[in-house]
Amino acid sequence: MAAGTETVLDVENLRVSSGARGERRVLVRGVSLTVGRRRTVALVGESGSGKTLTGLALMGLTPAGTAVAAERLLVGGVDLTRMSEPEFARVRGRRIAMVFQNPMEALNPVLRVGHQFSQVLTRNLGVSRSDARDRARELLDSVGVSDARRRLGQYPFEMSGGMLQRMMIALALAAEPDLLVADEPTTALDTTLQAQVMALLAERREDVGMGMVLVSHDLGLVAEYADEVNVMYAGRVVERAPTREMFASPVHPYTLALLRTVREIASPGTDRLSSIPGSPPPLDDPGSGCAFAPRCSFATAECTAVVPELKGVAEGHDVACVRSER
Amino acid sequence: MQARRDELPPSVDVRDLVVQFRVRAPGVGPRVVVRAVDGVSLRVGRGATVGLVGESGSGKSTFGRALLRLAPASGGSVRIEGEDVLGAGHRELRALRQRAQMVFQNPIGSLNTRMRVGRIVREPLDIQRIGDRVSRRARVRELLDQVGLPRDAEGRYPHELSGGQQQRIALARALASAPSLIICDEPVAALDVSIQAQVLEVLKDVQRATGVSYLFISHDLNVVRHLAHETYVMYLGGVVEHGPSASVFASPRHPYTRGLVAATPVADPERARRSPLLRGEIPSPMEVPPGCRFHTRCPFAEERCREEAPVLGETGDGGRVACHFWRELPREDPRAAPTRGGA
Amino acid sequence: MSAVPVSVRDATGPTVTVPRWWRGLSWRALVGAGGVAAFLVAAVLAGAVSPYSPDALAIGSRLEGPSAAHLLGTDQLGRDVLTRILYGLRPSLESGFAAIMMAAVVGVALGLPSGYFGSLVDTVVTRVLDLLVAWPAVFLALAIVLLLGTGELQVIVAIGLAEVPVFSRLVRSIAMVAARSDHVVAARAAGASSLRIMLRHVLPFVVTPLVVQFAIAAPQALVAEASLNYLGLGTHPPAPSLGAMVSEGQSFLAYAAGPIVFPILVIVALVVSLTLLADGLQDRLDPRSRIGAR
Repeated sequence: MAAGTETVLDVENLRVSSGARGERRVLVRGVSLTVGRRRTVALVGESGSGKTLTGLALMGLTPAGTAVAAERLLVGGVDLTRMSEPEFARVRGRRIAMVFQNPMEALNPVLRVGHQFSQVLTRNLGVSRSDARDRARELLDSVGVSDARRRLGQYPFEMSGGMLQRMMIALALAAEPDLLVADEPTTALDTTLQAQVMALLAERREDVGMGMVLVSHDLGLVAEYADEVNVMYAGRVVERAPTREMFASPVHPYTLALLRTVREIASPGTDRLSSIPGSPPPLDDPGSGCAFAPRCSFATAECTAVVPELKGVAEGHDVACVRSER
Repeated sequence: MQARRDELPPSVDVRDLVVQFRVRAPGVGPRVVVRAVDGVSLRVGRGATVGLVGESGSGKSTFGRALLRLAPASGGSVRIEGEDVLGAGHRELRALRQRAQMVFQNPIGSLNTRMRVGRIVREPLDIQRIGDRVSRRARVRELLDQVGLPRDAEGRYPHELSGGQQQRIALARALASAPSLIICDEPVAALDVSIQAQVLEVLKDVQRATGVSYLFISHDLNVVRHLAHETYVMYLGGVVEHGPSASVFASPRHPYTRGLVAATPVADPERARRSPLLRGEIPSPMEVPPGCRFHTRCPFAEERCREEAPVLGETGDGGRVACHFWRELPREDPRAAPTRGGA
Repeated sequence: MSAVPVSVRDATGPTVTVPRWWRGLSWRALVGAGGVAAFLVAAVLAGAVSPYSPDALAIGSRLEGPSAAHLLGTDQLGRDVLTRILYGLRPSLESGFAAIMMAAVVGVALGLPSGYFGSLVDTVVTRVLDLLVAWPAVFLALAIVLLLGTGELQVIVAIGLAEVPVFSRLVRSIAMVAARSDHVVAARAAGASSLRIMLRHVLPFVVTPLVVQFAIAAPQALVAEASLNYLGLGTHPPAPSLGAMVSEGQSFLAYAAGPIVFPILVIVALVVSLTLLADGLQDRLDPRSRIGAR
């Protein structure tokens, strides 16, 4: 079982496509990830980079009409690619759980929170209703919700976004999963709450002993909370490195440009922000060659000819750019 | 030019603005009066950019809308270029709305998706009957140029363009009637970083070219610090700190501002992980705490804070702060000592 | 210098090009559209197609079955059934269309301000419509006929009035959402008047659902029209109408089924065509029933 191995997620060449057979469009083009226990691996990118779709694909939750394929998708040592949907459904919430961007939308608005808690707990933990109630209180305690009894009697709209997100985290981690996919977990929250919720996630990750995939557009957040960063662009990982390395010596022109912009905005002295011209291509039509080439200031004829593969430039640091290959 | 600008009344001058709503508490509560904006004074000089920051629920967006009477003000005064907004009649208000415009957070939501870009940008000119057909067309071209949109954008529909381009359309429309003030309500919050930078640059270019002033409402301290000359910090309907942006962000005085600064992520893993300085959440505007409205979340709160509301007082270096104890608070700031290092 | 201009072509996400209106229409819609078109053509060309006049009596050949001379036979007065059906389609289609048109226009006129302004305007409009809905449609029609007498116009008004609440509520609900969106606030900020905002910034968003509702209401209106004529509240004899034909044929059902069966079949075929078209249009135009619509 998973206890022996350190790796809780091992994905090889994950692909997501949509549309009917005739006009199938590829959206995520071969993402490989490895997440160790008590480690946080970030997927960063702008909207339309395919990061959220990748996160959903890990959960088997991509929208209707899409298809997911992978050479390997091991969660806690169990291969999810060989599972039927009912089998997968049993894994979800137990071995692999997810926290969404908007907690308000993730809960049923017309049911009391406590009711939704006990539903999930009786299903995922196989406990009785009364045990589920006790467990719910313990769980809320673990995420710093003090008046658990009152909270469980409330409806989602009676609570703030920050409170709901705490509860969603508690619920997601109820079965102590091997892997948590956190999709923009703090984007809908105010900055002051962001720090609280991220601290909570980091703490729970240690207690539960799970691995975490953090999907985010926010490089600042990733810098603080991830161990490894995967930068995505147009459905591919274009650069992967341990966090410190990524922020200290980025190689891919896209990462370079993004980081420069973020730092320029954050530093008071900047007179003129250097922005990346244009905008990302549609996910289903990245053009020929390197998808970033049209916006890249280093692009050459070679860039539009071939799709660069991820290649190592240093220990644990891979880059998909023809420039880095020399 | 500079001298004359100073003689002119400011783009907008707000005194003790109050906006209140009657709302029903969640569930089946009685109707209560909520003061979303509670006596805020603010001034934006000609050609200046003034930032207004705060969390959601601070009342900053309501404040912005109230300046154009898009939210009902129930007290105080608003003067746009010296002219009274709150007392203006129907016709005067229409004229005043030429001089102050708005840009919203959600670019596609703020555009009529059934209209082509050219018509969207031209509409304020049509409404205000500025110029004739030919001159309006020319003006639309000029505006599109000014915000960096290609000519062929004119005949397209908003959804055919990217988020950054949509925000440029919104800006072009806002600029159409040559306003003195544009109220920007989180104009880049919905955009990706690389696009944010483009739009921020356009905002600066437009300001340089036209001398328009901005009231820049945002929760993003980095963006505000970058753009705004002056910043106001709002909490639960009131201003807690105000001053030149450089000093507000570099050496925040109010514990709330400190908390905000400390909570802002920095793209640098070498820096110490931020500790959540502020606990809890902003209370509901229906339950504004007595005394200092911030005392429930303030790590430094004392008895006096629970009883007596502090007034916005001068700090002596151009700033103002509403805190009884700002002088006595520990100097160091969790973010003040950058340990930039590493490879 | 202005900032880097970006080409329109590299827009984010899958670019939504406005498709030709018929692309993506289902077979149902196409079959429905074909059927409706066929009936329209038949009604328009009635005079050119048929060798008989709808009122031409032929006492010698009454209640005849289908033959080469009379494809669908003759009725109790020896009139050609096919000819009368073709001519009878006209008032049916005309009054059906006119009635829904009226319902749509009145519905927009009531629903738009109701949804946009809300509060008092909304309360008044909603109450008035509630009153209208409280009456069964047939009594409403009878009341109108009592007040205005029988005739095609009365039928139109009766059917139209019965359909007004549906249209008005639809428009109101969309207008309510649109009125609170940022683009309407932006238009207000630009100094636009309420009328202008309603017409330019709210109405365009109502059009598509209105078209769908139009198609849904059409078969209902058609059946209503036939029913009112069947009850003798519509066209005056001897003018042909599908409903009146059924009603007249009833007395002679024992001798010949043709004069009653064929009009009924035509009504059914027309209603089915319209329903298929409505269904297909709804799938095509209603964003709620499309996956991945953003």
